Amino acid sequence: MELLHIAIAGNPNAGKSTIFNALTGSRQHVGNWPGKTVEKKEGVFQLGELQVNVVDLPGTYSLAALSPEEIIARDYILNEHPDLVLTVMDASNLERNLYLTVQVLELGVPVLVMLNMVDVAASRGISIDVERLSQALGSPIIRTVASKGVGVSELKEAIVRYAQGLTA
Amino acid sequence: MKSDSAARIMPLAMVSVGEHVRLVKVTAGEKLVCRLGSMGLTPGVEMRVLQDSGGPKTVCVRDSRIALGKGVAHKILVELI
Repeated sequence: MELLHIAIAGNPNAGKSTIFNALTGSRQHVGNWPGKTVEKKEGVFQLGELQVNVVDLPGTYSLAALSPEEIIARDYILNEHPDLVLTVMDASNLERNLYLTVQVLELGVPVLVMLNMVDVAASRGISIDVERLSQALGSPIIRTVASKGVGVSELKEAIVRYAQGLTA
Repeated sequence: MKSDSAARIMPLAMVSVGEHVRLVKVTAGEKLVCRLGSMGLTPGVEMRVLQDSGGPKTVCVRDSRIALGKGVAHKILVELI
């Protein structure tokens, strides 16, 4: 059986834990206290033959290593070498959220970008050219509304595609 | 001209609700400057004060709402626009 290791990174309240729960199905409380994910949360789920281990990293605004959360997130990505890093961006706060995603991309690790809360962005009149953003970042982008489960199956398909690319 | 613009510079802590300001400088250590910068509070950025409870202030920056403590708000120098 194949094993894939992924880490979820993103700003506080971008929806990391919601996506983590949607993937692993574990019952965890997702609250609204900024920076509440200080502990390390791990989960496992199965995609056909593929077993995926997920780590929910603490919510941070950067990887500058100025706070314990930032040190945990940076050290995990650099030292544990996850096969894939999911960066979760709040589509309604794209400008601020891009900062962390770009920092993760600059580490040179494989990245899959989640554009979460696209419904909230749409309700604020924000429309995002996903294709152009994907080209600019050089990384695939999946649109999600994690709280409603929208885009989760596309995310799983993208993870499977990525894993197949690794073994092929 | 120079003294004119200098006269309008004040700490964010003194700005009232509803006013639009532009960030001039964060007079603090590297750690706070970086932390605020990573949240989008960089020199030149425009923001609006949404809420002021006498202590913390809520500001709108780059489509995000950010709450800042009074001490931090004193270290952020802004000019009215």
